[in-house]
Amino acid sequence: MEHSPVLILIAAVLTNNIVFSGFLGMCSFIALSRRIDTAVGMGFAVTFVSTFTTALNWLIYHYVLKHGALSGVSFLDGVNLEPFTMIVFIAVIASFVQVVELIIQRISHSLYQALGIFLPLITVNCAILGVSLFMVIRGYGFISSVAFGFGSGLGWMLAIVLMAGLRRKMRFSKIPPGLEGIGITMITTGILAMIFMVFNGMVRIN
Amino acid sequence: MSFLLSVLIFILIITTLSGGVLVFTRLLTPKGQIKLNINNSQKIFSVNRGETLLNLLYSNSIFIPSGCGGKGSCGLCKVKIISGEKTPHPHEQEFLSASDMKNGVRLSCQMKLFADTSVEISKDFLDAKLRIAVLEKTTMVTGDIREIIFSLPEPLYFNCGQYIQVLIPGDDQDKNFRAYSIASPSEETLRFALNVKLIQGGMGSTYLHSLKEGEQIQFTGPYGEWMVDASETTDLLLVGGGVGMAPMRSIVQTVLSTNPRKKVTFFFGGCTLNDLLFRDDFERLASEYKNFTYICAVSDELKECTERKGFIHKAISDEYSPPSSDCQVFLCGPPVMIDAVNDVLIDKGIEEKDIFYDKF
Ligand SMILES: Cc1cc2nc3c(=O)[nH]c(=O)nc-3n(C[C@H](O)[C@H](O)[C@H](O)COP(=O)(O)OP(=O)(O)OC[C@H]3O[C@@H](n4cnc5c(N)ncnc54)[C@H](O)[C@@H]3O)c2cc1C
Ligand code: FES
Repeated sequence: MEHSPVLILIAAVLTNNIVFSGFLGMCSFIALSRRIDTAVGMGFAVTFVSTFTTALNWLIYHYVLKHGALSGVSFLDGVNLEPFTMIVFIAVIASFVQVVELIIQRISHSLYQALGIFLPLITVNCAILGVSLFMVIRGYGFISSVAFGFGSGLGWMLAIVLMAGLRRKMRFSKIPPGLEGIGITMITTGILAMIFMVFNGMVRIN
Repeated sequence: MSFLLSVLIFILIITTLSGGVLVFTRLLTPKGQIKLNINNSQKIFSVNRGETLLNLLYSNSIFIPSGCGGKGSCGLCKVKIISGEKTPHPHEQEFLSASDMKNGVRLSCQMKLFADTSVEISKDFLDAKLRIAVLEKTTMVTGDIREIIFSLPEPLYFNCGQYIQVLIPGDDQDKNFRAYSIASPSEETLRFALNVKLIQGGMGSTYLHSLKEGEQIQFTGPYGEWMVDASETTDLLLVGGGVGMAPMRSIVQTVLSTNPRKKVTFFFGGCTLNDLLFRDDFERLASEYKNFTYICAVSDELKECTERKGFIHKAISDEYSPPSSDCQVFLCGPPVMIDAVNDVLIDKGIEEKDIFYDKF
């Protein structure tokens, strides 16, 4: 069944949250969820990058990589770039992030403060790659893909901001030694993931 | 044939992408030199664009404090920006007070310079030089804390409670400093003691623990804004935990010998009895000087002895009553301890301006 882009966007935020149902992007999720303001900044950066890279990757996939995409040109008939999809996606994301960082640094200091400093952390973020790969597997059209990329970014932001809030509260809790830091964060993420399963009945995109 | 072509096109895509990034980097990275102006043109350096302010200062032999080697985790490397980029990064804000933010103070290790910049640096730091000390004696005082005594070729004048920065030799020479409080009294100017806790895998502490008698260290300093009020009527409350002992020892010894009528109360907390370092010394001082009270507490094991059990902020909450006259409080230890003690003291009506602390 083909879902509408709006539905895909909502599903990407709630039911198919990239952190809570895909468990992707965990390293930066854990490392940067200590303070709410850094979490928000990082959330915006991920949303920005995932929206634009899904769009870019969609174009590259459908016009270059997809089996038969190049068959219009006679001597390229039979060329199959599909096996390279993942590597090309990684390269596209990494280059995009680097160039955007350079541009932001050049044009606006305040934008760089808010967004730019997080960009290098995103270069190898698996959530971003995951979004591009899901969009291919699920066969989305262009608009749906962009909606999916945007929604996944928002979902990631929701997850990390929730976690930052919880971790702020947890600073005053007595946590068994050995579980402090990453341990308790993983457990809390698991519980949050279960809570998010409640949304499952609303809409499901698989 | 079509297989080879696929690989070729793939390589083409990847080279185009990396080539694109290279071209953009070339076009967009600002190059060349900028001017770094210190204290209203007292010193002007022409420096490369894109380096951090801390590195630039160090490579020009201006040794401002930095306790974490530029990782942005100690908050000591504050510098006031007069002109240039004054807005701090979000992760700097944790270390900046409201007045810091208003005055354009930033963490120099987190600030990369892309345009001409003027900064203001306290005169003490401008004069700080790299100095030499020779290890005289080194002994373990608890399971992981070592007392190291250094002798000096020239006198070092410092206030009790101040710290020095030891240069940790390594790959990037003149950059790696770690802060250590002076644990000896300030009248002794030709030698000083450090109490250093060994941190597993820690660069600085492992280096200091491995030093042998007769070996040299390089350091800068003293640094730190702690100033014990000289007046007799201002009571002094000291609270230490773990290696937070170091500056407290210096203060206790200095004050008792120079100001014998000042009331001094010293709370010290550890996890186990073994952590209560120099306990005998302090108990002896407490029986010798009527104006000095020493109270220690242990938080973990405690069966056979009569010591207070519990965290040090509990002990303060139970046993300390603030004086009616002026009072000054110095706290030193792990961040959790400082926060807890701070809350207790504020509850007891001590004003925030009278509380000074260093988080280790
Ligand atoms: C003003 C000031 C005064 C200080 N005075 C003293 C002093 O008198 N005596 C003293 O021993 N230290 C003191 N310190 C701490 C000291 O400067 C170093 O931070 C400490 O010795 C660790 O440095 P390192 O190079 O061994 O470890 P690093 O190489 O910096 O760190 C190695 C690892 O250990 C961890 N780590 C670092 N510090 C701690 C810690 N305190 N507890 C647990 N894990 C840690 C790090 O996260 C890292 O993973 C003071 C710090 C400040 C800011
Ligand atoms: S915060 Fe430690 S050197 Fe800058």
